[in-house]
Amino acid sequence: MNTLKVAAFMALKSLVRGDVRVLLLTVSMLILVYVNLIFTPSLLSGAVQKIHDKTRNTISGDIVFQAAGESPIIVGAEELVSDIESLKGVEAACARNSLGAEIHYESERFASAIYAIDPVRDSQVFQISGTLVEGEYLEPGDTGQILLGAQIAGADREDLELYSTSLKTVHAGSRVVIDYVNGVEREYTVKGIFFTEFVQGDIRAYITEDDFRSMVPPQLHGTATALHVKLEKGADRSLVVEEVLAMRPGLKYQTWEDALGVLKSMTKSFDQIIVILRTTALIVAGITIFIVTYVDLVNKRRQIGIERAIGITSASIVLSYIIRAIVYAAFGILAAALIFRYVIMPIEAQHPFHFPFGDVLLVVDIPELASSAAILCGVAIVSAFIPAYQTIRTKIIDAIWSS
Amino acid sequence: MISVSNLSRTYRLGSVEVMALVDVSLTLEGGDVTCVMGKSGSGKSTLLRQLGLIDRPTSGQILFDGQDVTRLSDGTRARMRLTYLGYIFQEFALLGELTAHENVFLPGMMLGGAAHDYRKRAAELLGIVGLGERIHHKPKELSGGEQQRVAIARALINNPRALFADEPCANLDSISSEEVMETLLKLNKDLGITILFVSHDPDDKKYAGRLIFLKDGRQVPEYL
Repeated sequence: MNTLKVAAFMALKSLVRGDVRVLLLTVSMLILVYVNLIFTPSLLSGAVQKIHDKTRNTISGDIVFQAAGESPIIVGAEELVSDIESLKGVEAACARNSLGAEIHYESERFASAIYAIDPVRDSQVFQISGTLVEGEYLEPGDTGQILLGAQIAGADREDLELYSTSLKTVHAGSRVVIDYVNGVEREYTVKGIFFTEFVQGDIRAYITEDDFRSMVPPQLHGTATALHVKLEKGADRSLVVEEVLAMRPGLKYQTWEDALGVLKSMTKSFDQIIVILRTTALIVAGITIFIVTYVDLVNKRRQIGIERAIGITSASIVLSYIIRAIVYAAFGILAAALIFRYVIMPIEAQHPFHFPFGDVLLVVDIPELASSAAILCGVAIVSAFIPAYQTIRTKIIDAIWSS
Repeated sequence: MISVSNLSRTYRLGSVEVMALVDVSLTLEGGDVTCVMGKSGSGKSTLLRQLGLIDRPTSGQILFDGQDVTRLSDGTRARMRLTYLGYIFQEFALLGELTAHENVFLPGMMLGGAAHDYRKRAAELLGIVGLGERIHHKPKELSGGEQQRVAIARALINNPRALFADEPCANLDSISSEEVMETLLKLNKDLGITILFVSHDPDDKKYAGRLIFLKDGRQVPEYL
C-alpha cells in the first residue's frame, strides 16, 4: 500500500511540476495515435455497415427464402407472404419473381435480371422507392412500365461506375425493348430510374407482378422465385426461420450475410486492414511512451539513485513511471475521444467520404473503442515498465555518481 | 552498535583494479560522533557508502546490532536504509520537483503511518534545522546551506539509529558549514543519534569525539 501511495505521490508531483512542454507533447502524440487508432477503423466500419445496410435494403431483406428442390418456384407465394407477416418479429414480407433478360435501347444493350414485384409489399421490405432520381415508382396494376437502376439506364451520368456498359442515355419516359430468356419480347416505358448508390442494387430492373403474369402461363401465377422478409429490431431471426420452414417444408433460406456474396470477402479484407492499422498505431504509441520514459529516466538517473538511497523502494519508482504513462494515455485517450466525437465526426458528416456504395459516415463501435483504449493503456504500461525496470537494476552508486 | 571488520572494496576501472578500501575495522557505539578524515581519494566516501548500505563491500563484514548486513537482499537493505539509517550526501541530493517539506516526509510516507503524523514530523524537523518558514520552497529556491539542512531533516524523518554524512559542508561557505555542523551536534545531543561524518577539513576535528584517518584506503594506525 505504501509502495502505491509513494508511487502515486511521486507521479503526481512529477506530472504537475515537471516540464509542461513534455507533458503536452506526449499527450498530443497520444491524441494523434488514438485518433489514428480509431479513425480508419471507424471509416471502414462505416463502409462495412453501409454495405450491410444496402444489401438488406435493396437486395435481400433480412432473410431470403427460396425453393429447395429442383424447381425454383415457390407456389402459393401470396398466401405464404401473408402467413409470414403474421409471425412474431416479422415487420414485412414480399415475393419476387426473377427472369433473365436483355434490355435494348437504340444501339445499346444490357443483360440483367428483371424482378417482378408487388410495389406495395416490396416497398415495405426494400427502400428502392426512396432512391428515385427520375420519374416515379411502380404502382399495382402498372403494365408496360419498368423501373431501371441507374447503372442500367446510364441517364447521361458519365460518373457512374458502369456507365460505359450501360444503356447510356435512357431517362424516365424512354422506351426500351426487353428480350426475356423465355423468348418473350416486350417494349416498356421507363417509369422511373432509381439510384441506390449500391452497384449490385442499381443493375436491377423491376416490373409489376401483373406485367409478369401477362407473359407466363397461368400455373405460374401467384408463384415466386424468392420471398424476402424484413424483421423487426431485435427479432430472433433463427426463430422466424424455424417457423417459416415448419410452415412450408421444402424451402431453403439465406441470411443477408449470405447474400453479401463477393462483398463478404471485401468486408473481411476491411477487417484485416483494421487489425494492421491498429497494430501499427499501437506500436507507434508504445515507442512514443518508451522514448518519453527513457529520456526522462536518463535525465533523472541520479534522482532515482537518490530516491533508492533514501529508502524509496524500486517497486515504488517503477510504479510511479507506470502511473505517469497511464495518466499520459488516459489524457490522450480522453482528449482524442472528445476531439473525434465533437470535431472529426461532425466535419466528416458534413463532408462524407464517397464509396461506390454511397456516402460513408464514421461509425464508432463503443466496445471496440473501449478495447482500443484498454490496449493503448496496456501498451503504455509495458512501454514505461521496460526502461524504468532497466534503470532501477543499475547499482545505486552508479546511478548517483556516474551521471 | 555498528561493527566493521576487515572491510575491503575494490573497483575495476577497465583492466585496472583500484583498492578503494583495504581491511578497515572499526566500531561505532551508540551516541558517538565520529569524523572520518583523509585526503581526496583516501576512501572516506567509499567507507561511508558501505556503512550507508548504498554499496556492497568486496570482502569483510558490517554488523548492525550484531546482524550481518553485507549479504542482505537489495529489498532488505532498502528497508534498513529507510528504518535504521539516515544518509546525507555531499551534494545535497534533494528531489527538485518536491518542496522542502515533501522532500523530508517522502521517506516517512514510504515507511507508512498516518499522513498527518509524517507531515507534522517533517515540519517539526524543518523547524529544528531552522527552516520552519521555508517548508514550501523548492530546492532551487534555497541556499546551499538551507538545502543541506533540508537533507539533514530528511535523514532524520524515520528516527534513525545512525546518521552518515558525506562531507556535508563541502559545498557550503563557512557560515553555512558552521550552521550545518552545529545542527548535527544538536541532534546528537538532543536525540542521541550516532553520527559518522566525512570531512577533509582539519577544522572539523573539533566537532568529533573520535577520529578515523584513512590513507590510500587503509586506516592510519595512530588513529586506531
